[in-house]
Amino acid sequence: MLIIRQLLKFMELLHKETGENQLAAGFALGLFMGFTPMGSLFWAGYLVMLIMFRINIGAAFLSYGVLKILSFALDPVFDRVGYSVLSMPSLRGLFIAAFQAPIVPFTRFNNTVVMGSLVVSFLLAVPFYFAMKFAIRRYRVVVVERIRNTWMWKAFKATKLFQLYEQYEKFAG
Amino acid sequence: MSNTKNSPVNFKTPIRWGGFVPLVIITTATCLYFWLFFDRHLKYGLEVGATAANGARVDIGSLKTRLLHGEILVSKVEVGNPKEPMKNRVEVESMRFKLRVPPLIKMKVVIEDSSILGIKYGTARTYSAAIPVAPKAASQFSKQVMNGFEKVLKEKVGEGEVERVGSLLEGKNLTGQAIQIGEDSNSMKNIRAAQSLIESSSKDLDAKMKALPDEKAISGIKAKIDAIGAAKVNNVEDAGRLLNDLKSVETDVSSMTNKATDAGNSVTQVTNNVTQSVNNVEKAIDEDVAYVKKKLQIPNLNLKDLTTPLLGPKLGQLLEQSLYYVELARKYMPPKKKGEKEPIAVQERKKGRDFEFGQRATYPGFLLEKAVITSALSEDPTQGDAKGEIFGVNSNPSVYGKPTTAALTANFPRAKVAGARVNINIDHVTEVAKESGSFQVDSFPVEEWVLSEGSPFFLKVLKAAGRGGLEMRFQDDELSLEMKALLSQVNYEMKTDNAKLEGILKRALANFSSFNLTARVTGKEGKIDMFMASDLGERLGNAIRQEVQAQLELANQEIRKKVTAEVAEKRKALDQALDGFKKNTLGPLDSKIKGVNDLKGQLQAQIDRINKEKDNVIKGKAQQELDKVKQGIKLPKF
Repeated sequence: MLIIRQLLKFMELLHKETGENQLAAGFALGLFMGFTPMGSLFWAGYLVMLIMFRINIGAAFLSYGVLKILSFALDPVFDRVGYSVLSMPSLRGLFIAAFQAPIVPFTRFNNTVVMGSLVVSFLLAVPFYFAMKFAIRRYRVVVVERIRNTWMWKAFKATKLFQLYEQYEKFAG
Repeated sequence: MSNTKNSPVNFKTPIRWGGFVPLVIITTATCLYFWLFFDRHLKYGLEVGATAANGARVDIGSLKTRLLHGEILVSKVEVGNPKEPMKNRVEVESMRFKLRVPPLIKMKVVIEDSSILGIKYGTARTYSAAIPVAPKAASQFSKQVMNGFEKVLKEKVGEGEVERVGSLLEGKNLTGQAIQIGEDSNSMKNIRAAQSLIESSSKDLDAKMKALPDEKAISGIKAKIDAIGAAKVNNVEDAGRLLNDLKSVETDVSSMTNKATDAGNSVTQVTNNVTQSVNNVEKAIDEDVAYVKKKLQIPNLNLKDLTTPLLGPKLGQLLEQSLYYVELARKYMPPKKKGEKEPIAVQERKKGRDFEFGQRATYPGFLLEKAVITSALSEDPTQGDAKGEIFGVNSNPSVYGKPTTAALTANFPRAKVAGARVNINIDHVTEVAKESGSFQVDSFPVEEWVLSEGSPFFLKVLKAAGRGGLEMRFQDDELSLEMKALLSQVNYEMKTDNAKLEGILKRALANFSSFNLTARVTGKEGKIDMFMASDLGERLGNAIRQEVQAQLELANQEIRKKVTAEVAEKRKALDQALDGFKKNTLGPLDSKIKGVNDLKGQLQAQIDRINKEKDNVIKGKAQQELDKVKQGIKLPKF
């Protein structure tokens, strides 16, 4: 019963935090998740951030799903970027210290694809965040309003199903 | 009723405290996974990896990790045999690995000690170890070495040569077909080129010959010299006048000489070119003969020794396998990254490359410090008596600072394997990767060893007792592989559709119950050299050679005769053209050069004569003057 309740709560989390910032942050975090290969400790960090911060989880997963597909094509780019970064003599001392430190090697930062994807994600995250914020705003002003004014939406709103959904929304808060 | 106006502002912190419980659940699930399923998945992962490396299934009976105690226990490891899938190559009863715990938190696996107990050889499997074999992705180094080897093998053996020898033995008349080399053949092309050169050269030389002085001009000059020669020198003034006349003639003769020399040089050069061009026709005929031989599939095979054609491909397989293991070692134990001061290794991964940022006096990412292999004879007939040690298997040899070594001795009496000794040394400590290994066996059984599976004959060693060894040395991109084997008490199986060949081979193999084999491959990437010798190959080669040599020679002669006949008419015309060219140019040129040289000689003779007579006149005058002076002087009397 406890597990079911937690699962329901998790489902609920998917639809929460629908403000522009939370949605855009979700998309930006999805960018990191999509690009960074699974199996590194970075992923644990992403999951903690996703659950513990007010970020839209649905947006994060949507962004992750789309960008994961893109990442297969970008792997050679990540490999080259990662190789260049990991070969930098100026960062050599830092990398050696990190590699010899406890826990840090589990991030697999020493892998060219992981490092390359991380660097590319960091470079793209801020522009991606603002681009998504702009896109959400435009979507809400242009697309949603246009749909609301269609006769189909009005007809749907008059149905019993929609009323039931509204009651659920109220109940769920 | 809700009172929105008076409700407090719903301020949300950036932290979602509600997420704490799912996070705890996820963490607990992760711990549960490690407790319940990790061993199973590690076992599966090891099986998959080892199967891929082995080329046949590798099964692990059980695997238990006790990470807090630093222990991994593995039992019943079956390494399937890719060639005989219902048998295991090796079966290990149990393995125990003692890990250092503190490095684990740094993602380093350091096995300080391990023991491998109970080694069995050739045990039966309950199910097949065969797997769909994916083509191995060879590296550039491997590809270049194998390309170099195949090139050498092709040079030494040729393609389908042995099969064509079979056709010869079947008595096929290989030269029976019509031989037409056509207008595009090398011979015809060269004949046309030589003819055209003769034509163009004749035109050029004609112009030069016309510029040479004709008979009339030479006679004119000669007459002038003769006229001067008839004149007598009475005094110095006469001599000066005559010499001046000769000087003007000398200018004309010099000009003639220069023209003749120039024409002579041109003719020599052109004649050389034409002769060379005609000689090229001979070479072209040789090429056409070779082309026709190839077209008619006349073998070029060196039948002195059939070892390379028979066993060359097997040596290639052995080389490919050796390279596979060398590459595996270089991939998982990479040498130090080139140009780096620090001990940094880069390892190719399925996704990207892993940098191992090593530091002196630390552990590499993976290190097996020592493994002791022990196996004693038991009631189990497949279990052998083996002893061995492996030191320093690691993921960053430049950090570890010592080469990886392995030494093993084994005897499997029931399997009739005695005195097996393996020594391996993998030195990847520096930037230059060095690997060496030797594998020696004093006695081992040979069964069902196919020597030749293609046409014209199938030859297999059904049973034999073997002894031999293999030595390998790799250093960066250079390699050396040497194999020596002696097979005794050999029983052969031989099949062929060719009755004549069957008789030859049966006679050759009768009472030939032991043979040796020596093979060597050395070189560097694409420049590979190979050598193979075996008294079996020599014996078979000699037997076949006696039979086919006469036929081969006959075929060669026949082809040369036919090709020569094809070009004979044009060749004759070419020879005539060459003779005509020589006659038309060399003959007249020689006579003109001779005429000019004669003039030159006559001119010089006249110059010498006049100078001599001038000297005589001067001397006579001087004597007269001296006599006069003598008469005019009266000496006093005493």
